[in-house]
Amino acid sequence: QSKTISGIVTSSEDGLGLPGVSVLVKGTTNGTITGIDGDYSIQLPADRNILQFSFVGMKSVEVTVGNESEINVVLDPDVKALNEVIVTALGVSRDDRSVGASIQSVKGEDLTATRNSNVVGNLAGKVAGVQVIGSSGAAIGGTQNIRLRGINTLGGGSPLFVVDGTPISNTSISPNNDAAGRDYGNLAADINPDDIESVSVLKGPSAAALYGNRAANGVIIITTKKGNKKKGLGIEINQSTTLENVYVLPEYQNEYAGGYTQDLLTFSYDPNIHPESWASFDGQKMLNYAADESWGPKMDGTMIRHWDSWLDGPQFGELRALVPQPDNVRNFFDTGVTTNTGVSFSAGDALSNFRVSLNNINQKGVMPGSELSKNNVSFNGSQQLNDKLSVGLNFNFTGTNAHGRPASGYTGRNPVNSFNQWFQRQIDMDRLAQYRNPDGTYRSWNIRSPLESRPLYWNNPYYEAYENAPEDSRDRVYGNFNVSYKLTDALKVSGFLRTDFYNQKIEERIASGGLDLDFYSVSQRIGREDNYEILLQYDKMFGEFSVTANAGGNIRKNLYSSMYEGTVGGLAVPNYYNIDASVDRPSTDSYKSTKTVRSVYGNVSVGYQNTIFLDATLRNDWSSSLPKANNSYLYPSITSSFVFTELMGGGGSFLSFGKLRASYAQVGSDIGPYEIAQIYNVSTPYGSFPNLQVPNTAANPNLKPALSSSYEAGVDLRFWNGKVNFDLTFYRNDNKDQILNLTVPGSSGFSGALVNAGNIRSEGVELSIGGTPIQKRDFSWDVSLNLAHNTSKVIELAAGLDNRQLQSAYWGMTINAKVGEEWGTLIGTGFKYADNGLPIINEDGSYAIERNKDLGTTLPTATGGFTNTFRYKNFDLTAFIEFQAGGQFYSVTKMFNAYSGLGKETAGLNDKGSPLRDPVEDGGGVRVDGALEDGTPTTVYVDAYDYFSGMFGLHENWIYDASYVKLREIRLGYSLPAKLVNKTPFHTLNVAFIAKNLWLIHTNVPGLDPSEFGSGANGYAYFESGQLPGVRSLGFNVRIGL
Amino acid sequence: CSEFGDTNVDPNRPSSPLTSGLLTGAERSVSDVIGSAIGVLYVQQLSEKQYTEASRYQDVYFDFNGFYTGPLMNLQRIIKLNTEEETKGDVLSSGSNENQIAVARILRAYFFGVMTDRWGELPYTEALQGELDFSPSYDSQEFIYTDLLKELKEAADQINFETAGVEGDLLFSGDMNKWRQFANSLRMIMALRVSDVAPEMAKANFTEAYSNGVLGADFMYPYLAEANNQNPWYGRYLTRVDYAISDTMYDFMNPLGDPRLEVYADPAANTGDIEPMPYGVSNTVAGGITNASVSYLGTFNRKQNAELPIVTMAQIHFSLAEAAVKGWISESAEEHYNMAIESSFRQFGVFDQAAFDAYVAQPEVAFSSSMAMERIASQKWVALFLQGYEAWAEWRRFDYPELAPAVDAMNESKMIPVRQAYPTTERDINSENYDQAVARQGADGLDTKLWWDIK
Repeated sequence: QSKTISGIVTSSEDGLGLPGVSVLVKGTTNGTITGIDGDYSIQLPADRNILQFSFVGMKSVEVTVGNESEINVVLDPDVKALNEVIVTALGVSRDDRSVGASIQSVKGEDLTATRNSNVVGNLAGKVAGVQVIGSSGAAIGGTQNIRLRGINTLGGGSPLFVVDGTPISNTSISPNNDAAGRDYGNLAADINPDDIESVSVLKGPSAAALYGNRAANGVIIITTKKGNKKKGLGIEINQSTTLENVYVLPEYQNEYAGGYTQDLLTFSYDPNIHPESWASFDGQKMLNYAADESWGPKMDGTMIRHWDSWLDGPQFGELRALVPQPDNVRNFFDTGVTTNTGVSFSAGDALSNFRVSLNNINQKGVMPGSELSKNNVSFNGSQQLNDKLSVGLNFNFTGTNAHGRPASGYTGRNPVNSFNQWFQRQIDMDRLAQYRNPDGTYRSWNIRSPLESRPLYWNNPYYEAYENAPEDSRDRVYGNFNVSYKLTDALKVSGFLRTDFYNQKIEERIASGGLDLDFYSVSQRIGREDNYEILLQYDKMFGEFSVTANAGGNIRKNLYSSMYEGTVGGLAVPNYYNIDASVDRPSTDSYKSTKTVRSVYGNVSVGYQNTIFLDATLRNDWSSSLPKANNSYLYPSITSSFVFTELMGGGGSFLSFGKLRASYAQVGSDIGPYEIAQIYNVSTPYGSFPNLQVPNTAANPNLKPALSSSYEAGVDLRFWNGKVNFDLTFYRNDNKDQILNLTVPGSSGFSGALVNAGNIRSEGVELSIGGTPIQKRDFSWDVSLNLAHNTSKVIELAAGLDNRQLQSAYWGMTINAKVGEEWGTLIGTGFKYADNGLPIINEDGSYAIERNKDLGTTLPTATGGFTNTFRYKNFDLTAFIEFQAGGQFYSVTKMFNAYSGLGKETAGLNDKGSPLRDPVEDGGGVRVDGALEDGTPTTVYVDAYDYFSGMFGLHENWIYDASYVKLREIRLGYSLPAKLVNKTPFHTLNVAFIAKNLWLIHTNVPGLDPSEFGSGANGYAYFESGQLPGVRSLGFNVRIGL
Repeated sequence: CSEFGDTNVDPNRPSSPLTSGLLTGAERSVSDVIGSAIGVLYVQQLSEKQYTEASRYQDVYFDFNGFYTGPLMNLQRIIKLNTEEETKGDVLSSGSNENQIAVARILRAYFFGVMTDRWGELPYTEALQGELDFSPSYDSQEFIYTDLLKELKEAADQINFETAGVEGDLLFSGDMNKWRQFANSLRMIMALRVSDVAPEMAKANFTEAYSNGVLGADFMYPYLAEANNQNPWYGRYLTRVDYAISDTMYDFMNPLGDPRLEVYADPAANTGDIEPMPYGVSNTVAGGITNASVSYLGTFNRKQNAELPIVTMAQIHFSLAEAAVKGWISESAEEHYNMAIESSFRQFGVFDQAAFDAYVAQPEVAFSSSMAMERIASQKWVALFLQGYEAWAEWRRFDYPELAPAVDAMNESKMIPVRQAYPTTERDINSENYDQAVARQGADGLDTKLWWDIK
């Protein structure tokens, strides 16, 4: 006797009913398909008890039927479906099996699990071979840098971003590396992650040859969501609210107050200089407020005059206890709040589709006074006008406004620089929060003396945060209009007009009445890229052979202009923030550039029996920025794939799919505009006399394009029908004839010369393993692991040159490209070691030093990520761990944290049980073990201040291994059961707890997050100074479908 | 497809040069020499108030690249554009060819003179050739000095009063007579510098330069009351108070009742008196001294538009006094010595006949032929206040006044530097030539004496 089983099949992606799902009684041919709402009903014979649910692109599920008559099933998308379709160059979707180069895809939803607003940050650890160098959440939208397969140009370089075929800028508007300044973010952050359908990462130039000369560092291809028919109104709402708190801070000592010596100062009344009313203060204890170090008296509760007791107000004359303030730095920061709300509307039928989405992000940062708002509108639509002609439009607008983006680096604008490097530990943040005197003037802890309240080194951090806050805004538009005409069944011609445009305005200020001269500047950057593109696509089967061919032409125009105006000599009217207020002639700069690149390209792909594929491309570029004689350059690629399981009968139950692939490609690169002709620089004038300078770089009218060649081979294996997927890739890139600004002896009259030279070789291996170890009706477990190892070795520089300094960090540490070593050699001052390996100690107890020592390399040896997704009934849990092994960096924070007596290691007891800071003759001091010049071991005790200040500039001591393991994301979601949802106006409802930056599981640098120190335009990421503290974010997410 | 028209023509920067603009650019760099603090610290005219590393000789390597790529390359280009047939006609709006070349040669000699006194051997003959020579070899200091003296003579002779003076000249406003006087004065000073090691060359150059006419007034850098062209000491005191009058300077001047002391230093906030800062002490010791208890550099010298000396009348008269002592000229050494002190008093705005007479009458000051060089050296040291590199060079030559090294010196020898080391870029990218220079000259550190420093 059979019984009727019915239920609804829904997709885990959006909770919507899935129409067309095949439902089969296992072991029979009895089957049905689900209806428009995913509903089904089937007769189950008495001798059968297993139902199979399967659907293209989803993982099949088997359900054992018990006594129930209703069985609802949730199908998960099969990311590694056997015939996965991936988006390749030129936006062409291709069957995975035909692709001979390494392309890894990430689905949009995997990027937005925790609603991170920057697509670059979301790629960290999700794709093998991607290294993301992030910035702290405190930077509200700070730069996230990305490297693909290490370093492929001497100056670093980042991949090209392409959205729906339109190349968009990912420039970072921030100072180079962690140099002092403010980080206004990277431009790819203008993409709304909720709009992303999928991201394909084309890692080597092989897959990227068709994107031309900017693809040498790989391509990030982003495909946005299109409209399609959905259940309900086609409205989706996605809202999240998260709270952010500072969580990674250095460990501080809480024993000693500010000052340079342990003795409390005594106020001694002098009738000649002090007001009469101060006579009674004579003999009161006080601190050296002018010091910005913490080598002062013990915080033992003595009643003293604190800094503010000398300033007007009710606290004037107060004596308060000198006690520790262990949480003063943490107390400075606010709890941040971020709301992220998106709504999208979509519809579609056989002939047309559209999707409109709106998104708003409001963020209040942890840095007091910092806030950001971002609004985004995007539209995707296409219409089939007749059976041959179709048109489409993709339009994206993002408007960003921010106030008070924090400064980073070694600058007075950055309060963290003070807290971690130059501060007094006893300071009570609540007292500082009152940053004005009763008369409105500003007050700081760092007063020069009781009589002189002007700060010596540091403003009040609240003054910095609230009064010196910058303003910035950016409007961004990108998208394309396209038209396509089917000439024959096999041949289609398409045309595209593409644009990417941004207008960024930044105003910076220093308020009148602080330590520094008041100041105002306004700058504007306008960038625009237009692409005019035509593409012929041919696709036909000839018997056993499939042929696809594309031929295209493109004209690219880049326009850039910038303006800067800054006051000089202060503001004529206090706090009047306008260029008109400049006391002296303001400094101004205006710049514009244009560049054109013309290209023709084509590719042919031939497949045989769906088993062997061969793909060849050819491209020629003409660039306006190269010398006319050398401005045309041609480069090819060839790739092949071989689905060997086809020869084994299409794959067995163990090895279901196997593919070998190999490729070779070249990509040519040009230079920026205006680098080949002799010009003169205009510099600061003297009065009305203009000032011209012979430029420091020798122009080179004979430059030619740089060429990178890449070789790649890999294997894709899928076992047990995709339960386990395995993808392994080996690659090698030779980046030759780089156009580099060669450092030449300044005595030649130039400091640099543009030349074609050098070779950087990147080699590595990438592995991704994924699968679904458990797939049950009520429970499933998905796991994926990405792992990559890369070396980027400098094979040669220019003739006779074996080292090139790339940049110099604070106090003499440099990053270099050194022949025979990995790119990014750190060179600085180190310890001098005796033959037996002990550091040599000088007579006075200081370390003997060796200058220009090789101190390791900055590139990590391995990067990766590990994701686990569990689904139990209506609950889903995603945990994402990211990690990096190796890579060295230099920490200025740690150096001065010790120098200035703020760090934990500068206090406490030494190995004799005496206070470290006591004089050596009293049993104190830091124990230093080392050797004499001849290697004889020796131990000396060194005065703590001398020891830690003596480490200044001894870079080797401040080089750390940047390895880390980080629990980046957690999402715990709950989808309302269909039964309940049906009683609401909604058809899906999912609520989730989300967490970002939850736990820095491992770091070798306590108090710093090595994954976040690399903000900045060039992305070298080899040192930090005044790094903003790590921020943890916790909150909720609600997704509603209407 | 290869034709892009004007697309790659830079609209932002001029492609044709205005040589007056190149001269302005080079002259602005004179401020980098005369406004530098490091020499002032070496000779202990000032002490650092808190972070005292520079006065404890922590820095070893000093970068000379900026001089080459900056002012020297500008001057070289001026000479080239005024020399080559195809361009010399295009640059006449900035002055006659010969006058532009002469001024460029004088300034080039000035910069090279300061540089060789800091580093010793330098890329000189092969320097500034641009892409033609990216590995210039070094010339000995003897060669450089010989050539600089010749350059100054030739440049002075090249000046043509009949043709247009130079434009863009913020130092002398195109007054070619002053340029000639400056060239002669500089030649005199440089000749004296090598007088110990090459007395014949020194004497010949000195006497010829002197007879050709030297400066008649202090040659000062004209800073403006605006931030882009302001006195560098003004900028240093905008937010910080790093430099105070040193105890060395104070201990010399105060017992003599030197009126310049009130100009060199401001009163300490705590006492209203001039209070010196100990020189070369550790940061801890320095930190123990409160800011209100010491005297900082006097406001006179650090107003926003306060002029700073390039070559002073005091220098000229001290030089002449020394030449008279050496018997190179038949004038009174004492007279020039006293005029030098008077010139210095006038330079710092404290000249008062009675006070001056009283000052020079003191036995420790009064000229004494038996201690002529010591007197000249000590008084010159005081008069060269803030002329750091010049004061340091003269101190090395005279070895007087006797200065004790920083008590907490950080360099290995613990001695006052007598040289500065080459920028590390030279060792890395011009290594062969660098190695040869070091082999000839001696270790590339702070303790290797220069060619002219034989005493």
